[in-house]
Amino acid sequence: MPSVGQLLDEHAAALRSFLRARCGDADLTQDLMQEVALRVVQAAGRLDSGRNVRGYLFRTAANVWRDFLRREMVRRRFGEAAVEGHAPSADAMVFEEDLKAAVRQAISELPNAQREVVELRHHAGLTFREIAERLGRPLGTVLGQMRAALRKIGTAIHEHR
Amino acid sequence: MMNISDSHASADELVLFAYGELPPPRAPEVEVHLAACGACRAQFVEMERVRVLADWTLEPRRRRTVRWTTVVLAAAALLAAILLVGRRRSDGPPQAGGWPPQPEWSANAGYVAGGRPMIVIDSQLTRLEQELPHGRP
Repeated sequence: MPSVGQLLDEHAAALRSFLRARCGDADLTQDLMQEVALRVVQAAGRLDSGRNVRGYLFRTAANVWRDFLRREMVRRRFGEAAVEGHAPSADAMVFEEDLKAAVRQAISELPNAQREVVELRHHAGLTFREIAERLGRPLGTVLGQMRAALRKIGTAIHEHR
Repeated sequence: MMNISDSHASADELVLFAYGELPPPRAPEVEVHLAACGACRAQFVEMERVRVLADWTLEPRRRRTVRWTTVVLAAAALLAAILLVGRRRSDGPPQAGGWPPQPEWSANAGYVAGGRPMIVIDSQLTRLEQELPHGRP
């Protein structure tokens, strides 16, 4: 089993590309890479050779990106102080709960065809191809419905950002 | 000559890419393109924000099902143990051996079923109940 440093070195270019495509900024990519490395080092004791290490590294990078977006939403609303340290401020927690309530409301107001796709993808965890098969719709239609749904949810929560 | 990063991603490709479902060879091409194309990335990041929020809001059903299954099994075990205790009280002295195990009274540990004190089984059930996803932590 290679060391954590070796694993990170081996996959660094791919992980950097993954993050750079999403954030589009070289400095931010570096910060996010450091966060990935930190999480991997913290989990090093739980890694074993039988595990899909590459998959684990990319899931970690995806989680770091997801957490960055969440922090960014809170930061936009309350400023840097709200996301410093490990524990979110009380204001940030209330804001996050409000945001989730707004998302739930927006999803409930979607047309049935779009809501079905959102719930099957996010709640049931089906792939778009599986959703298309289950609903008997062309894949392109399902993707269009998901796109429309995300746009509507985004518009509905705009005031919370 | 056209650079690979000049090839804009279609709207459908961006959705598939956001959800990790865009197959190769297009996925790495889109990844390279997004790093270089601000217009596509802006569209993509806007979608990502909502995707992350929806993911965060709608807990995956599979995880919840596993937890509920655990609780239901634990509750069934406790119910069986309670019924056995009741039967012992009403049917007289328990028979030794056999399955399911007959609860027995112990001066030190109270009722014991299958070698485990009932109070331990009960505390485990309480812990499982507390771990229920009533709300996301």
